[in-house]
Amino acid sequence: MHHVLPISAQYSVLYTGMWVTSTIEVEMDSMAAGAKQRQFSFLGKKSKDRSKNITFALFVTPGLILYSIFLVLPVVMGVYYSVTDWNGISRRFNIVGIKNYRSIFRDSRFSNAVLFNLKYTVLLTVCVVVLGIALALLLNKRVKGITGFRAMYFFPAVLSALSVTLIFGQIFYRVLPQIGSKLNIGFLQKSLLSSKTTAPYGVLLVNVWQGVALPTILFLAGLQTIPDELYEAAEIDGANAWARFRHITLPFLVPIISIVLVLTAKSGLMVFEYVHSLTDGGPGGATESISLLIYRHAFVENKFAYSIAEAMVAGLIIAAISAIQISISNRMKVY
Amino acid sequence: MKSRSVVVLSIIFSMVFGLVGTVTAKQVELEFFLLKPEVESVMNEIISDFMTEYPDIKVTQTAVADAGTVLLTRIATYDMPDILQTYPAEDKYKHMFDDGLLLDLTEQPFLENVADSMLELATYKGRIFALPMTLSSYGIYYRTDIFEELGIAEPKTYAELIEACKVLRANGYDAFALPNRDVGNIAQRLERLIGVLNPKSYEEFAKIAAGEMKVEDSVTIRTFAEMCLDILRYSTEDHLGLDYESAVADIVNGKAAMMISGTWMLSTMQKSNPDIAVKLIPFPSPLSDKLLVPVNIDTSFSISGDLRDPEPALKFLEYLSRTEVAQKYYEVDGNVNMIKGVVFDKEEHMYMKDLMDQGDMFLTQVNFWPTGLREEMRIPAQQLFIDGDVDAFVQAFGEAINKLYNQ
Repeated sequence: MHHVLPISAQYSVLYTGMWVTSTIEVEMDSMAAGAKQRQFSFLGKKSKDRSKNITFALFVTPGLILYSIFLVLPVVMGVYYSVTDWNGISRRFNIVGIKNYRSIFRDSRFSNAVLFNLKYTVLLTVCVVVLGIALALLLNKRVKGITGFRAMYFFPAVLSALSVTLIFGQIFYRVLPQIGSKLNIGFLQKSLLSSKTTAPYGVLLVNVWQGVALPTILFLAGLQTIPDELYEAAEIDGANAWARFRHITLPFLVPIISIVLVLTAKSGLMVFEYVHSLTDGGPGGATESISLLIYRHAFVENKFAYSIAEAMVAGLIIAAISAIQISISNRMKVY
Repeated sequence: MKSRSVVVLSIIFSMVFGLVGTVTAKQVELEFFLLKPEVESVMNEIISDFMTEYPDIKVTQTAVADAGTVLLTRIATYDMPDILQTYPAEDKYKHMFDDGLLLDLTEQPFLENVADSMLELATYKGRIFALPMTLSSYGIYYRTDIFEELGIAEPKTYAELIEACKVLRANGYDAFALPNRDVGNIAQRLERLIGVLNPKSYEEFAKIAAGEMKVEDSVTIRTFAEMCLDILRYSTEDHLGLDYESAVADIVNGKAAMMISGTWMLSTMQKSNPDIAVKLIPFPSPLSDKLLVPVNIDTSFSISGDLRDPEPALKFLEYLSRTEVAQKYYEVDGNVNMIKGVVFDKEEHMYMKDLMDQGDMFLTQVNFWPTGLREEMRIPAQQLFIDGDVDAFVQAFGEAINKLYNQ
């Protein structure tokens, strides 16, 4: 059975994961909004409500249209292409049913990539949150020249990820081994990216170096909203530094921690440019992430339909993780 | 009087704009999509010369980073460029021709300007869908000055190559700069060197896929693995941390004396050091004393099958097939140019050219292997360089062959 290809499914490959995540967020928000709306309609007059509803509908329509064109439609198309054998070039292809999905669950490369992404995301999130808070606490001190320091720590965020990876690639290959040899540190005598054990940490190091900058600024902003009186009162009551951090600082930072958790987890689950440029998935597949695998299958190995199916599965995994994360952070929210 | 001058002026205006309008309407616009970024400037010059000769045709060059991916995306979205570079021996482009995405050029008179042997390589199912211009070749670039200084003769056999490696290592050089961090480079090396060992490897692989032969019995695959481990002993110590650019830098800076690569690398080396003393020689096979050059059709030009009127695009291809234009292209590109009458004078590649003229060449294996086999072997090959496990590599190769031949 032959079909003629209407338009590309590339959007689907790229957006499926993000779409499913954002759908959950939007659904949750709309449920909350719906509840408020219902309360409101009991109180207000019917005609007033109708005109308000029309206004709301008019406001929502442009967004809904754009959302449908750029997100819903590609996902629907993605589902369609994922059950074909399309190679990305040919204008003719066959429907093959769930063959691609069955192959994915048998493919060790895919399960390895999922495992890599999960481990990587946990490590990235922990490093970014802990380091971000620590740096923000230091940058919140009233010291001379603190603005300069703040600018310095924010600097990595304005660089392009690709430039950063190229620079670190050279540091790993040419600088660190020299230091490793001088100080006789075994694992540093070769590039961190050369060994299957250290390569994931090498990629993580670069990602954390750059990825911690923005969360630090967010944490710093959070710290500055905490009233000084609370610390003074705690000090008078004899609370030590840890108790002050645990019972004053941390509760105030919870909303920001939950935002940072979502942002960092998303970037960890979809990591692409760092692995693509630093290791290209190597050595021996040790750093092959889901996004890299999808890209490779589509653009290097010409298995477009298969890569779209992978994107679908990855999208569902990311959606499940995001749902859990959002429900946890909703419970933790301080109003 | 006033009204008369207004009428006259408006007539003049309408005539002038009408004329401009006619010229604009007649001018045909064509897009040329470039795959090889290193020739962007010379292609711009050629296009501008072409437009001087054909003022009614406007050609715009599209040169983007990661052009292969961009082209694939554009094809997938029905946005074919009018004229594009292709690799006519590769499966991907043959599929495009099968699907009617590329114009059949078989009957075009300008193909007579191309050497017959080249046309033969570019023929698919008796048809030709590209103007094939250059052949790239692959082998070992070696620093002639370092070899001279140490009194090492140019290696003609595998034993001589290993001997040269030993002398280089003893004198503090890395014999080879092996960029094993770069999996794309590994995959290409695998495919070209397997061809050196067995230019008909695809026949052997087909037998393995059909169950007529065991992968463990494949001398080609096993020898490839052992050969890689042999030369690894004399190469960059941290080869898994070395990327392509750094490897080229190691050759230019004289840290390493040899690198396995293709003719496209010469211009990169010469950018860093225009006087670099290098020469490209074929990789000697441990299985045979005959030196063979792996070649691939490099620069080729095709026309979109979607064009309503292909005439202007055909004129552009005819222009590119002229000897003086091809000569201009060759000066920058450096590959063996198969347009009749082009003078080849790159000393660094002369030896390869002589072997090619004698017919001691074969079309590289990627053109015969199923799409994706080379890429599928990236991880197992890198794994071989990590643990040196030849048996595991052979097994992985067998699995990849079975998967891709039987899909």
